[in-house]
Amino acid sequence: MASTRSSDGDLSRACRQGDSRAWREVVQRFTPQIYRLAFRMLGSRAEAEDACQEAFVRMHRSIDSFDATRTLAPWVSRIAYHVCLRRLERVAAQPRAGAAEDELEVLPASGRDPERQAAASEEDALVEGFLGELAAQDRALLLLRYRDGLSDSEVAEATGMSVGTVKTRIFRARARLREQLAPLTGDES
Amino acid sequence: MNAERAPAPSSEPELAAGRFDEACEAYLERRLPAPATRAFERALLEPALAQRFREALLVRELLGSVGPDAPAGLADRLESLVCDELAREGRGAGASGRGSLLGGWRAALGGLSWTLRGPSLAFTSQPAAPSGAGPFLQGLGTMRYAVPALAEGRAAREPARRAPLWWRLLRGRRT
Repeated sequence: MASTRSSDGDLSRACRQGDSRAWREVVQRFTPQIYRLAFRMLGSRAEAEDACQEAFVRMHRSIDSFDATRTLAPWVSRIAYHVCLRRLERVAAQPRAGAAEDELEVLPASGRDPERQAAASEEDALVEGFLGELAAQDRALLLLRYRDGLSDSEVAEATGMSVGTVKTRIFRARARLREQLAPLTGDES
Repeated sequence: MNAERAPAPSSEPELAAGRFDEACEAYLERRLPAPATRAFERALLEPALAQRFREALLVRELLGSVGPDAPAGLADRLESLVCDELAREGRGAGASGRGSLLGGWRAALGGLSWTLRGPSLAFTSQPAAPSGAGPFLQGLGTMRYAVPALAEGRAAREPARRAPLWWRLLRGRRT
């Protein structure tokens, strides 16, 4: 049991019954995903950690409303996404001081030869810059879709947007990123 | 694959690009049926499309590796936080309050508040949604997540008190 992954249905049912082992599994499984989403939406490590904490508390309080026939990832993402939106609303008036330093720490540095590392760093920096320019909601959409591997309909479920809106916003964001990457990929069109 | 389709892009080249991008996505996620896969691979022989496909791959690869990782120890801290919550509420097995009417309503209202929060934020923080679709109505559509908690409680509570319909009809005719 310790090494196997429980199915979402079993896990959520056990969580409803207050099974602490099930809750531990949920926390271990979803912390990386929630933290990434929160960091990308809020732009600060401290805020992201607080948002994770709030998201898990809210999950714990609303587990009874979860439909055990569905998958957990979109539900978890929905709670985290809305926690972050609420926090963003609270800090909307404040500038994102310190976010740039936080994001620089994110860039991977080791394990590549200098030439490849330089190229990779250029790409990474480009992506970081690109993500920084996007609205927090669009950053969340890209992350949920490509990093966490949610389908369009699951992303829609997580964000409360329609599938059409999700597809359009992701298409536009991707097109912008491709434009910015054009100098690196050698596409002059 | 979803039955719902993306809104049509505004211009002809954008439409074509949109279709190709969608095909790329479906191909990379192995969602294309076999004949469509073969047709897509044949289309890739065209240099311009091949270049576009390479770009799509790069974009996916870059977005798929976006960080950061959670700091070490965060998951453990969160674990103990949730366990503390469990202990505080005394929610052992069987003590979840699931069967009670109060528990069902509490869960449903909890879900409802989350359902309404998204659209209300969409109004206040992003007034210019690109799709132009009403975010409030979209959000209301998510109300279905709040409903199962109530439905579950009601199904458990409601005994079959009424006689079957055919019996009531027959009795009605006799009288």
